[in-house]
Amino acid sequence: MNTPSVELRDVTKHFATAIAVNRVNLTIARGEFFSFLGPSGCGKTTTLRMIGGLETPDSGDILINGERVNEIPPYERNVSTVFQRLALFPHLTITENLAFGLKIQHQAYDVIQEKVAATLELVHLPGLQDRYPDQLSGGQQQRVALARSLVLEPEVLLLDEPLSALDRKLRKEMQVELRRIQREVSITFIYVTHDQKEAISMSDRIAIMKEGKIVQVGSPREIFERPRTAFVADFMGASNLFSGQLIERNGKRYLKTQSGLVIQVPNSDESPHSQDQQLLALRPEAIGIFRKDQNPPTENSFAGRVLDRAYLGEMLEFEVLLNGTERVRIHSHSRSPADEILVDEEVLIGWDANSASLLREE
Amino acid sequence: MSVVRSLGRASLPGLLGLVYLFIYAPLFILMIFSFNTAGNLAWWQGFSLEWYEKLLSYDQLWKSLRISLMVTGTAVILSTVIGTLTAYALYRWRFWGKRLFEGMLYLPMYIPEVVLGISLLVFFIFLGMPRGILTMILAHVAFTIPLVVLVVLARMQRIDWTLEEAAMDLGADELTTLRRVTLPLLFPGIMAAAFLAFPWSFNDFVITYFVTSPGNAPLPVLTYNLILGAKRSGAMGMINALGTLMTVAALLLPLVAVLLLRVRRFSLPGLHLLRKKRA
Repeated sequence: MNTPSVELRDVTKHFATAIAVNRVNLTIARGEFFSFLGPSGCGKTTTLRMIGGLETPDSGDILINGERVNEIPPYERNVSTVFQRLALFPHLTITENLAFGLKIQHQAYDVIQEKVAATLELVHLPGLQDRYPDQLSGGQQQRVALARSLVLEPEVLLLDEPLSALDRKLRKEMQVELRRIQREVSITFIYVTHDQKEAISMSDRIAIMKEGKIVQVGSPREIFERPRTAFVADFMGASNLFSGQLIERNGKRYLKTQSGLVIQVPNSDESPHSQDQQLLALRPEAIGIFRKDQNPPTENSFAGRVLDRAYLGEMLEFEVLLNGTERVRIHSHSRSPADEILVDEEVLIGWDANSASLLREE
Repeated sequence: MSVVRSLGRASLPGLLGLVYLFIYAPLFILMIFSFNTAGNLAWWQGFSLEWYEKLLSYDQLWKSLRISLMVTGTAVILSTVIGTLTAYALYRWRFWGKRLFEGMLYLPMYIPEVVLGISLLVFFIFLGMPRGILTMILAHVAFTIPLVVLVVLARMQRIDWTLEEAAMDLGADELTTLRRVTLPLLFPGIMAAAFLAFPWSFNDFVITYFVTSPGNAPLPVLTYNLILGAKRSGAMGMINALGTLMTVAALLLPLVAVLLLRVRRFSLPGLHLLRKKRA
């Protein structure tokens, strides 16, 4: 059994009176691309900084490569951080920036030159060695920051929203690059972001954090398709929530809402641990919307009235009122029959029962 | 409206010219008359370098220059070090009474120099310290520190302190971080502070006058002594020459500083930050 790369045991951290990180337990395997995802102030950056040694936990243990590192200062930990603000040394050239850590390790001149060149190659940044950081573009600075950490060949690379300053197109490009580089160096990457799409597209596993606690850990698919709490569901974009009671009919489970809707629940083996109020989450794009004269293909369909429609570029967003009280948000392709549906029109909506997910109480 | 505006536009260069005339005319008159054969300002008799010869062969001048350089040199180094450390403490740490402390630091800049001078004099007498080089240095350190703190603090406010964390993250301990990152980044600010404090200290007359002894006159005090003498003899020539030399020196100092910074790859860490950014 391999020792995990990073292990957090009951890690807690307070700032003044507020609790930033609350009893976090986590194991991150070697070579994993692991993301902390959550809104600002959820404790994800603090957790990362504690792994890097820039903050000390109030209680609990942090293990890197099986060794407890609580009291070890950042400069003696075999981890390296790519900061949100990059923090490239403005008074040093790109080569000097990369060589900074190697010089402190008293590596030989030839070795330093060789490693710097190889790392610049790895991040696709040749020919800029003698420039200063302020002479590079945002994307290039990004690569330098990454290279400066990678050149030290750390056990773990910590990335604190490193792409947040880039524009959308460059960000996409760097996301692909980061994955490629991670595969090539096979170092454990721990990534902090508030962007769910970024986390989903890059990570092997994701931990969703809220108010200092981890609310769900799992593969991108698990988290996207099977959110466990209303918070995760909402954060991952499953913005439709139905609340009601579970009932059984003909061996199938249904959720009966207060307004009287009877919605089929996915037949998963996970049984909810209470019989009281249950929440069902549903992604807007999982729902089909049809005119009255069309035949909705699913058994799980309901009549409603369109309250609002908006054009969002590649898709349309509808808000539909069911049973006079339940508002449902629906996304469908702009170039689909749904495009003909107008506000105030009576429609039918429906979805595959398995695309919804039953939430656990928080 | 437009008449007023165009009038204003037309008169602006004239007005500006008057302002500059007002500032520089006295200096030019002093400079011109330093080459006058007659030792007064009443009329022009002819060009000569007589007063410069007299001045440069005047032993007291060289002694005063030595004293001035020693006092200012020592005081500027001391106040730059102390001021930088103070600024660092004020910027990085929070402590009880910080605001009061910061306010009190700048207070001397608003107190009349005469009052500062006399209070320093009383203080040194109280301590039983004989007036001389040491008391001058102490006084100069005292009144240049606020300036250094102001300038260095301004620089600190523009520094990204994540850089210190980044250095530690890359393996540098506290001392290495200070040496390799913090100081090089602060260096332009520290240099600017020193360049500002230098003329403040070098040119100071009022405070210095109170804390020096008759045998230890730095240049401004020597100038004053010469003026007192000239009042009796009417010989202003040497004073004009000294004034001219001091003005030229005062203009050369920032020029030298700028030139130093222009030299490419002048090997001081952090210096390129001071230079104009290349596109």
